[in-house]
Amino acid sequence: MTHVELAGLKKSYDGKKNVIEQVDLQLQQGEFFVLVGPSGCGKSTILRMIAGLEPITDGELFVNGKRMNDAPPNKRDLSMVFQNYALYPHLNVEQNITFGLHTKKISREEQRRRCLEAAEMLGLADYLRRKPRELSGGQRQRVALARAIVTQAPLCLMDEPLSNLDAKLRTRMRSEIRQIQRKLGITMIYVTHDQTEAMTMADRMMILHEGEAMQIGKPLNIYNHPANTFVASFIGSPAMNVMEADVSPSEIGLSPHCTLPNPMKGNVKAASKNVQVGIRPEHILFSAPEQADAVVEVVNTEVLGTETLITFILDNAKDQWIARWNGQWQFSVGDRIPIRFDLDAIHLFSKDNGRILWAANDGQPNQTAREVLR
Amino acid sequence: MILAKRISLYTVLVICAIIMMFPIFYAFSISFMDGGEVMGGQLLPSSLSLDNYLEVFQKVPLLTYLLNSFVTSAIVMIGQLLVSSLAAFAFVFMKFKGRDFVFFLFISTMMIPWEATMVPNFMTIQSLGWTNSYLGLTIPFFALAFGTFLLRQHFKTIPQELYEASQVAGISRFRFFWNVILPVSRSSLITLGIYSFLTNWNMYLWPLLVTNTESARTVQIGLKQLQTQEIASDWGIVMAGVVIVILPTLLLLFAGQKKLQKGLTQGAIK
Ligand SMILES: Nc1ncnc2c1ncn2[C@@H]1O[C@H](COP(=O)(O)OP(=O)(O)O)[C@@H](O)[C@H]1O
Ligand SMILES: [Mg+2]
Repeated sequence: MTHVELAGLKKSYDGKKNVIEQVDLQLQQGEFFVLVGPSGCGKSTILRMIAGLEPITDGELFVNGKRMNDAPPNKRDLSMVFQNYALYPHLNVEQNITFGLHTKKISREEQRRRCLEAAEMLGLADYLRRKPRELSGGQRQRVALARAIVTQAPLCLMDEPLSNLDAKLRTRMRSEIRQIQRKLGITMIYVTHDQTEAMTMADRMMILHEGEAMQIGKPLNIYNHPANTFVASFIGSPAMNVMEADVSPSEIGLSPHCTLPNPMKGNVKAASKNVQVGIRPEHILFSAPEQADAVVEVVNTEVLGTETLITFILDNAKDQWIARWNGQWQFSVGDRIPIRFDLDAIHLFSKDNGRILWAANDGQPNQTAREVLR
Repeated sequence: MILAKRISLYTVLVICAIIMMFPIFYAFSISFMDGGEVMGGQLLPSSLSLDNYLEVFQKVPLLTYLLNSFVTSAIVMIGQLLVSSLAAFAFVFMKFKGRDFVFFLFISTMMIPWEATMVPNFMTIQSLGWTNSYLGLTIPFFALAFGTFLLRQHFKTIPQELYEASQVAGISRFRFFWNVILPVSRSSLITLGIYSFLTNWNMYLWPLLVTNTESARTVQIGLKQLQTQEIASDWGIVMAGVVIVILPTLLLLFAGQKKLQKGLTQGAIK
């Protein structure tokens, strides 16, 4: 069942320039939806329009099929978690968690019961009497979560809730938030600039760039089938290698010494367009010298323990490629190594508008692999 | 070396303090002397007699004056706190067209000296028939540009998200103001409260204009009255009056010193 629908949503702060261009989106009941994009792309603006904190310039917002453009925030039946947690500094944890519940005509006992339940769930039971300034960052974050939980609102909005936490805690809270959302069955709209958070948490996600939706879909679909160069380089870490190439109907020339067969042979019209080649770091492979597509020069290696990131150049020193190989590889700078490109995982983008022209695994998503991965 | 530096620093500070405090100390000292001792130029009274204090209460209705001053100062303080905090709240948390312009207009009234508007104010009060009443002594001071400015600076340090969170929770604007903004801004409110109480306590010109009966006058006018009456030659009595009048000021300053400093510098640091 559709829970939230955005239809042609637009936003302009100054009446001239649109900060949000035409966002269309349908969220299912119980879905964990992530809005992801670089900072300043308009994620918070969309969230705040859904919450009713910012007026909608154009387009429509429906919640459970009812038009909600002009409803005040408290009539929209949602809860919200802010980036800076927005805890009331003069109230203790319990008062913070239950603050505002009285407006929903909830009895004192019921408030207390819900507060204890949420505190229990988030491991805050021992801190109910403390003031926010006596808590660590992670605990404050949990109080903010608890405050959203006790409202029992069916829709929860979160604006970069983890960005003030250290890396370790962030990983833990990621899975905790996801588990709570599943347990309570609420619909979640989660804003982040961190593609890892988006990839690991989302049921579906939308990649936003300068107020425009670049792509909407399941994380792995987007990872495997980026719609354009922006998505290709934003999702995935390290980013996909996207390089300009000289194309002829039969060949793609990456450098004077490295040419690949042009996979678009069949499509003559597209084949002669200006293209950019995209290939993920894990699809550049170490090769036996006789099968190598190129011999490249190593400019840096980062050994991460289970895998190694190798930065290399072909001929043009300005275009640095990254490959990711399992295991621990030790090269020194300047080493020349033979590599091979996995032609089944190559993407070709238009040089003019960045759109995808051709992808090797187009149309036949690797179903089994996805089933296993999920 | 450091010790020597410290000693010289403290010596300078102590000398300055003595120079500053001397008039108050001397007034305090005179208030215990009889006429002869004052004329003799003595620095300390020969005995601690409270005669002057008893007399000052008999010569002028000082108790009435004290009460009047206390009540008007308290009313003005509460009025200023309410009006300033509500105005500052509007300037920080409510969005409306021309908000900043209105604020600067508001602030620019600080450049007009109070004395310049005194005559029109007096005429208004007179035509309302508020002379010789608390109304005339207090209401013209409720709107205070400085107070609004001070509180606005503090309110601006409160994250907007607190307001947004309470909007989402369905808390009314006034309840948010009362239950969140005021408690969070306690130190600024105390600062402003002390400031406005003292300012009003020390006011002279306006009470002189709008009061002409003994039952409505305030202490500062009482002091002037002491000097102009025939008892003026009896400095002991005048100084006893002075000591009684500055006592509340000093008490308030000592009690609120920390808060006052904190509140006045808070906006500046942030
Ligand atoms: N209140 C505002 N007034 C004017 N412009 C704003 C306002 N809030 C955000 N913007 C602009 O809108 C764009 C999107 O901002 P925002 O939604 O906060 O981005 P994000 O949350 O993705 O970092 C930015 O260019 C920002 O400068
Ligand atoms: Mg943001």
